[in-house]
Formats: sequence, structure tokens, C-alpha cells
Amino acid sequence: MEQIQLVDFFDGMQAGAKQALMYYNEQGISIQLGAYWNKEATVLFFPYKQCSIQQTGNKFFVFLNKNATNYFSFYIDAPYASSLTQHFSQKNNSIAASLLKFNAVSLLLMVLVLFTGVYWSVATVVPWAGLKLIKPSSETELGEKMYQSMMQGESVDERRTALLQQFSKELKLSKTYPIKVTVLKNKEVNAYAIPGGNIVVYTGILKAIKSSDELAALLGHEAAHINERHSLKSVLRSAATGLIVSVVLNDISGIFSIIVENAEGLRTMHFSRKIEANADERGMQLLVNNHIHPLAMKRLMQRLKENTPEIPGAFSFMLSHPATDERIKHATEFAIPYKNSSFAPNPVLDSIWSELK
Amino acid sequence: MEYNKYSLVFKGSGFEYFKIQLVNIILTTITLGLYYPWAKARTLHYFYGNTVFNDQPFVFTGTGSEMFKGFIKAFLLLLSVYAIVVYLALNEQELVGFVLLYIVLALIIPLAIHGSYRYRFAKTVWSGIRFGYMGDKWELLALCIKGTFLTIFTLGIYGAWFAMNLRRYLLCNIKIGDARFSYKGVGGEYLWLNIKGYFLTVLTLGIYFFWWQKDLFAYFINNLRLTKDDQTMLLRSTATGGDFFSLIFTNLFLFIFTLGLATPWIIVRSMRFILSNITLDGTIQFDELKQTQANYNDATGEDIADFLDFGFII
Repeated sequence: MEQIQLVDFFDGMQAGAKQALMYYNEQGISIQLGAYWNKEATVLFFPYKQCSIQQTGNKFFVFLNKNATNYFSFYIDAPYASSLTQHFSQKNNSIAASLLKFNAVSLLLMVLVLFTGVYWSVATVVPWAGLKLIKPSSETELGEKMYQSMMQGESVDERRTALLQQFSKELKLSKTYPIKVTVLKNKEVNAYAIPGGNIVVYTGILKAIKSSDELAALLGHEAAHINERHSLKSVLRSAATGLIVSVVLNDISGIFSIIVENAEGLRTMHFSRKIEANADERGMQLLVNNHIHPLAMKRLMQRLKENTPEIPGAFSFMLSHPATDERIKHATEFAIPYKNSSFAPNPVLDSIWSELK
Repeated sequence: MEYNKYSLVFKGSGFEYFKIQLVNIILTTITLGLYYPWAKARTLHYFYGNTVFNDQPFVFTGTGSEMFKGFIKAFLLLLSVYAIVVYLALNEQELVGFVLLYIVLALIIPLAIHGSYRYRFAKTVWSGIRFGYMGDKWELLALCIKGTFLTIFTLGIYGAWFAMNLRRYLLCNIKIGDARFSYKGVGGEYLWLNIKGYFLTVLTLGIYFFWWQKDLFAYFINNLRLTKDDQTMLLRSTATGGDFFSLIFTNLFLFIFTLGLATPWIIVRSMRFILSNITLDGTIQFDELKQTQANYNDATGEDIADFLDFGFII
């Protein structure tokens, strides 16, 4: 089928359209300049391989070379339009071209599935790799720096610090981290752990506590946060989220700001319920290991619940350790197997405790 | 001489662009970003191909593989710069590192603009005729260094002159075939336009902002012209402050109520707005434009510009 058509041809030397005759076959497109076919005159041949087609508005444009300097155009309702364009659609079988054939909804779904997958894998891989890469020793080093900067402007109760340090020495709180306790003069009922081994206890919470068991439970809980690397885990988790968000929003500085925010927000860090429950459980395990009845944890929680003032703004411990009732229930359940076990009182701890008071 | 009036038309659709974007996102994600140059080529191809002047579409003839080569070169270049800076910072030479970083960036940015202009215009074809950028990279570098220093020393005031000098230099060196663009905007007028715009915007509680945008757009378009031998063509903006108001507000609402999903539509309608508000009139016979510009295949500058995220500046 070789029908000759009159087309507007652009020769790539001058901008204006020139009249030309065009015919096409299985191999490619042939063009001869002029309005009348002349057997003698030159015929330009363009194989489909180097040609491309584009539709703009109601016209097709067939570019005859990669530089788009030679081309011709015809209306989409030209009688030969569909048979000519077929030669191009067969040619293009790239992944992109086949994706473009899908409808928008399926494409949108693919994007969503892909993003969920990427999010899930980054949120899993980054914390996992981070925990593997960051050694406890460097965590202690970093935690010490954080501790130094957090202690600025705070007044340390030296006497009680020494006593509480002694108290914690009597307990086996951590195998990996050097546990260091600091008592701050502050009426708030609060205590927190800094990654790497530092535990900070406010005098307010010491006042609320009524026995050495409860104090041991408090230290057990905070030491569990350190042993389980809870802070590091949540910093890594938000770093992973931050990484994704900043890649999506194209803002690398976002990652750093998230890490900084987390470091600064430790004091009032809101651990998730799951993490708190985990710290309670591990803390009670530490109590058992130290021959202290795990119910001390329950008593500690009840004590702190009683001591939470109604005034907002002064309720730090409960704020950073939410859902007390649920945790009390959990602690009771944990203690059931130890119901009939007897735990001998620890005179050393008791004597330090009475001095602390 | 024959006097003619022309206009630009954008024929793209938001829906088609949306699909293109989705495909680009899928492939770029799967390839961990390596597909980016091809995605960009597809987007540019779509936008050029749907921009029509005098019944003929523009064509972007750049390819993904050309830009991928540039992408790799740009990546290695910037990676080594950052590696040196990090190395210096780790060896307690932070200050040296940062000074070095700023010096290198100050040198790279003009060269990237140069490379980007050369590549982009060599790959822009209309009616079979190539555009071209004729600027000299050392002249541009000198202009940028002078501009940066004077802007710092005058606490930013010279910025207006710097911006206009840069724009003039870039635009005056753009050709299509044997016709040349020229721009005659100057720093003083541009500064005044911005001061006026800023204060009136504050005084009118933001309402004047849209008229300020209109003025800036008009200052760009109305100072632009195309000359070929003794023929000229003037560009004119027909957009009003009210037009800008409705464009920006509609875009904002579209964006908010679709949670950003309408971005392709926003881009397409903005494109249509800009092009439909430019008219050209004058004596240039476009049919007589001759091919004069050479081809140019190195996309490194274009890719550095992408990495540093300053886009395509005019």
C-alpha cells in the first residue's frame, strides 16, 4: 500500500513549512519535496527506527530524526492517520510506555503500594542497622554529653546523689551499661533515664516514695529503659520517619532537626505504652533478680498515682508515664507467680534508704 | 514590512500530566532515583510538545541517557566536594571546610547555569529550528562573583541589579536560528518595583500582592524582544492583577482541598495562564528563520542545577 500524500514538511534549514509528498511502507517514510511527484528527483528515506510521533491538539507531528529538525504534520482525522501511527505504537514497548497505558486509578494504587513498601522497609531497616552500628560504649559516651548539657542550671543534691549511687550499687541493674544516678533538687515528682547509663531522680519523687522496695522498683524501671535502649530505638524510629519525610519533601536538614528535637525532649519524653509496659516488665525482672518482690513496682505506681497533684503543669511523672491503671494491672499480673515466694528484706538497702529519707 | 501578531498556546491537560507524573514516580522509586533523568526528559518533552507557537509545537530533543551521563558526572563532582568538606570537618578544620564549600559552590553555580542554558536551549527546537545559548562561561562567572560581593557589601540592595544583570546577560545570549532575544530590564526599576510592591502589600494587608506579581511578570515580559536583521518582535504581558488573584487563589484551594494531589493540574493551569498572557507583535517573518545554532549534548550543568535545587533560573 503506497499512497502518496501531500504534507507540510519542515526541512530544518528554514522555519517555514514546505509542500512535500510523503509515502510510507513497512520500513519507513519517504519524502520528496514539491507538490508533484517527479521520478527523477531525490527521495529522502527515513526508517521508523529514527522517527517519533507526537500528538499536539488535533495534529500529529512525525519527527524524522532525533534532532527534530525534519518533520511533517497532518491532522488526526486524515484518512491514513491510523495506519501510519500504528507503525509507531508497535515500536514503543518500553516499561514506561506500558505503564502509561494503565488508567490513573491503577497507577495511583501502584504508587501507594510502593510508598507503603518503601516506608515499611526504611522504618524497619534504619532502626535495625542503627542498633547494630551504635555500640553501647558510644551510646554511653553520647549519653554522658547529653547528661552534661542537661545538668546545666540544675542544682544537684550531692548528699543524696552519693547515697542513691550507693543504693544502686547494691542492686544489679545493668550488665552492659555503667549506671550512674543523680539526685536533683526539684519538687516535681519525676525521674528519667538518659541513654548510656545516667538516671536522674528528683527529690520530689524521693519524698513521695515510702519504702526501699519502691525506690528499687523506680531504679529498675529506669534502668530497664537504658538496658532496652528505648531512647535510642525511638530516636532511630523518628529518624527513619524523618528520613522518609525529608526525601519526600526534599529537605535533608529535617533529619538533623528531628534528632536534635529528640535529644532535647528526653526529659519529657513520651514513650509509647508498649515501651513503658516493656520497661515495667524488665524492671520487675530486675527486682526479682535482686531478690525484691516485684509487687514493689505496683506499690510504686500506686504511690505515684496518689502523689500526682491535680494542678496541671506539675504532673511530670504521670505525664511521661501514662495509663497508670493499666500498668498497675499489668504489674499485679506479673507478680502472680511470685505470690508464695518469700523475699528476705535487704538490710543494706534499708539502711541507705533511711538515711536518704 | 508586514506587521503580525502572535500568541502562545498551551495544549497540555492536567490529567495526562498527572499520569506522566505517576509513571515517573513509580519508575524513579523502583530504581532508587536512577530513573530521574528519564523522568525529567518525559516531563519536559510533554510540556514542550504541548506549547504551540504559530501552529507549530516546541520540541525538547534532550534524552534521558544524555541527562543520565550528566547526572552521574554532577553526582560524582558534588560528592567529592562534600567528601572533602566532611573530611576537613572531621579533622577539626570545620571553618576551612565551610569556606571551601561556599567558594566551590559560588564557582559551580554560575558554571552550572551556563551548562544548563547551553544544553536546554540547544535541545529546544521550534519549527525545525534550534535555539541556542551563546553566553561565555567566564563572563557569567565574573558577573556572578561581582554580583555576589556587591550584594553582600550593600546588605542586599545590589541584589536587584545583580538579578537584572544576570537576567539580561542570559536572555541577550539566547537565539532561535538567526533571531536573537534581548532584555532591557535594569536594576533601579526592578528595585523600585519591589519596594513599591512590598510596602503597598503591607499597607493593603496583602491585597496588593497580586498586583505586585503582575508587575514583576510584566517587567519580565515587556522588556523582552526578539530581533532578526532589521525586523523586531515585541513581547507583551496581558495579565492583570485580578487574573493573578484568581490564578493564585484557585491554585491554593485546589492544593489544599486535594491534599496536594491536584499539583499536576495546578502546574498545567499556571502554564496555560502564563502562555496565554503573552502576546508577540512585530515584523519578524518567522517562516524565514534560518538554522544557525549547533547541537550540544552535555547535560552536566543541567544536572548540577537539579542537585543544588535551583531549577532553571531566568
